[in-house]
Amino acid sequence: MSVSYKGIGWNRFKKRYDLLLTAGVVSCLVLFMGVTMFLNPKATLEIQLLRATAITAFLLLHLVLIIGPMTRLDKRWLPLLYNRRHLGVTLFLLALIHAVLAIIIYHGGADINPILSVLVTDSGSHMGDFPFQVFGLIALLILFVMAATSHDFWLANLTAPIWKSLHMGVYFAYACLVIHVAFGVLQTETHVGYIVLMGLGIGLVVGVHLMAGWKQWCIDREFQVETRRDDGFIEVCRVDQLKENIPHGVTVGGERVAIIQYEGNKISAVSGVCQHQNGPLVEGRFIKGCLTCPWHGYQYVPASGSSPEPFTEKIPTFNIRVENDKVFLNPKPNRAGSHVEPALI
Amino acid sequence: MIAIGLSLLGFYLALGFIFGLLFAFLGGAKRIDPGAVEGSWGFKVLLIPGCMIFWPYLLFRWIKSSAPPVECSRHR
Ligand code: HEM
Ligand code: FES
Repeated sequence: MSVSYKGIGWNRFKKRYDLLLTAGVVSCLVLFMGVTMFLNPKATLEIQLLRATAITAFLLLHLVLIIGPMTRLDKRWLPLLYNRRHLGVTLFLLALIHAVLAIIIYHGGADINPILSVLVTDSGSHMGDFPFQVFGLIALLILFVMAATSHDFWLANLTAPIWKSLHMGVYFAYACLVIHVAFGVLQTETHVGYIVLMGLGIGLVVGVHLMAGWKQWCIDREFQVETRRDDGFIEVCRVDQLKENIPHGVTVGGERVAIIQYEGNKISAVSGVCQHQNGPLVEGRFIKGCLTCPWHGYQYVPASGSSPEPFTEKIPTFNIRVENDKVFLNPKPNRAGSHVEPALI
Repeated sequence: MIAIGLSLLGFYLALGFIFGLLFAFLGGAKRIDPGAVEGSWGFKVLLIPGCMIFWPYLLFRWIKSSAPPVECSRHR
């Protein structure tokens, strides 16, 4: 959590993650250079590297895109999510190598600025008239913005909503790259196998997003509660539905709320969405007096919605009440970090 | 047209790079964000690419010495 950005720092898990990432990327590069050499023995080393970095980057992009929804579907994906940004930065660096090679190889000889040449001529690529490289360039710029702002410093200084919208750009980049590949290399390499692989990739990305969205929709609907009383409170569950130290998720007026019973007889309600990157606090655990986010471990004291000192993160709290073994909640959120006396059972 | 746009973009990024060096190493980051006070050398280098993009905004904040914005959206 943020006190000093150093505090998030390095730990053994993160180091192992990066080691595995590097090993994976290097093996992919070697593998794809081998494949290119095998399929196309005349390809020069630069072309092999151009293709290997492109395919590795494109594969990595698929991984980046499916991690989010996959964690919603299967918790075993959580460790990958923890350090997703390093995947993004690696992806950008690989794409950059690919782009620089492409510009040198296909545009280096042009008598205008080579980057301008990418935009106006598509020279050197005998792949039809479609300016597929422009789409590569657009995607590269988006990936650059995301990689450059991936540090928590930018999350704090640009504010979460802006940062998140920037990082939603990844979907636009993906669309551009699908065009870049479909109207680029797939115009010359017309073997049906490539087209099937590409289709599978797109299907996977779209499919897991739909499945995760569907699951969330079902959860929201299942936990949807809407019988408001005159005092504004809504019955959200029975006391015996709560298990100590395990958050219980409800959705009121479209807001996800985590209700937690802790320290024996106390019940508090806070936002079910983590301040850090909207992680599902509802699926978090209760550790050392704090509701702990499953994504990167940010913690919140249930009664105040604030991270324990010296951290400063805050989420909204909700007024809560227990009557006749039923839990009632006021769906109007309190300012983030406002203390609310826990209800007692 | 495209050529002029490209030169302007290059110019903008280059200015941002120079600004980034100053901002990261001469205390700009520390000034606007208490979380950056103990920043290591690597952290400062990592800030530079982002500065290339957002330097006008950071410059504005540096001049005003304003702390990170407090977010007031209720729920995200
Ligand atoms: C300035 C930006 C870019 C330029 C000029 C560019 C140029 C090219 C060119 C000329 C090819 C055809 C290469 C060949 O078959 O010999 C290609 C293919 C490809 N590019 Fe890009 N590209 C750019 C950005 C990107 C980015 C950001 C990605 C992201 C991952 C990407 C992914 C791919 C892929 C997957 C292929 C097909 C790989 C293959 O040829 O086997 N490109 N690009
Ligand atoms: S989303 Fe990162 S800790 Fe909750």
